[in-house]
Amino acid sequence: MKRWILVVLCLLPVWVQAEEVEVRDAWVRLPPPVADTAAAYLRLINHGGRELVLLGVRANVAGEAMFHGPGMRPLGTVRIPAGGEYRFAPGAAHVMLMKLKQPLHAGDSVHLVLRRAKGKPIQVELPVRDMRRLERP
Amino acid sequence: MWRGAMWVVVMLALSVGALTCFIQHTEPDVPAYLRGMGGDFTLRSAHGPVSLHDFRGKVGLLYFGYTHCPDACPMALSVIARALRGMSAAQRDRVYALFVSVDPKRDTPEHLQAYTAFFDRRIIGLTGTTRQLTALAVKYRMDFEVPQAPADAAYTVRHSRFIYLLDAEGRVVALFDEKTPSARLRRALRRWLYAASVRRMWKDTQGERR
Ligand SMILES: [Cu+2]
Repeated sequence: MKRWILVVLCLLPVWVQAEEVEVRDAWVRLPPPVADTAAAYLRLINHGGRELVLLGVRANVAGEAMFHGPGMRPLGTVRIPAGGEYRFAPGAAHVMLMKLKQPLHAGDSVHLVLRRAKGKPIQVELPVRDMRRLERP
Repeated sequence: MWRGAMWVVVMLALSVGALTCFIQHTEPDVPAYLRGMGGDFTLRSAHGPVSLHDFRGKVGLLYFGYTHCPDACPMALSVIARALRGMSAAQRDRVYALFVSVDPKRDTPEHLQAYTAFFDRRIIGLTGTTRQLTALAVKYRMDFEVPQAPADAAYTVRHSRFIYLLDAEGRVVALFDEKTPSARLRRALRRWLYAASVRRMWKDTQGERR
């Protein structure tokens, strides 16, 4: 019985986070091996009752990471209203990964940590996709 | 006797008229705002200088970007690569694709070639001096801005994202971008290839008549 309570307690934060912020369509575009930048895309849906404010991002594969708006304009913070969503999508906003530590490969997994103004950081696991053969995006 | 000669002249005039009309209609319409855009240039590739006029008689695609660009540039180069791959070998021989880096501080011709080869070996990577690139930007009405930063700083470059379609004379005849479906780009290339061959046939017959 005690063990069950422990399991539930351990899962609770995960469940709360999953409830509040939903992450969808998360992936990283495979860059050429000689490139030292890559773009990560994801959809963040705020199911919570408060505005979600993201202050920054880190990536395990990159020396530097930041939010970029369309046309590579750096975004200081990303604000997602309660019940709203934000899309990092091809040809628009993206998470810019710079100073890649090593060349990425299709199927690799990239770990992002999105720092929020309040509450625990959001952890996201993104697959690396080779888009050369695919029609769009 | 005179009547016979008259007939020959009339028939000839009619066929020339019909042919001219036919040729005019094989060339797709070029929007007015593209007239006067573009022009010749010479830039550096990993295999020496490359000029636009080297490709006379071929139909081309031209894109300005830089290799530290992880979103728009890979999308555009993928679209271009897919458009090329879907063509027959004979068509591909008459098509070329150029990727011009506006970031020469970081993109050497060798680095550019390794970058473009990832998408398709046929895409030629080019760059030049800031002066050359600025002059080119004016000709192609393209905007770009490289910040004053050392080459090892992780800076970003703003640039227009047009894919220019160039006809057999090197004129800009259509604009696309990284969101254009590759099939549409391929259709446009084929149409201009066809226009180029009709034009060449027409020129040949003109030569014979002289
Ligand atoms: Cu960016």
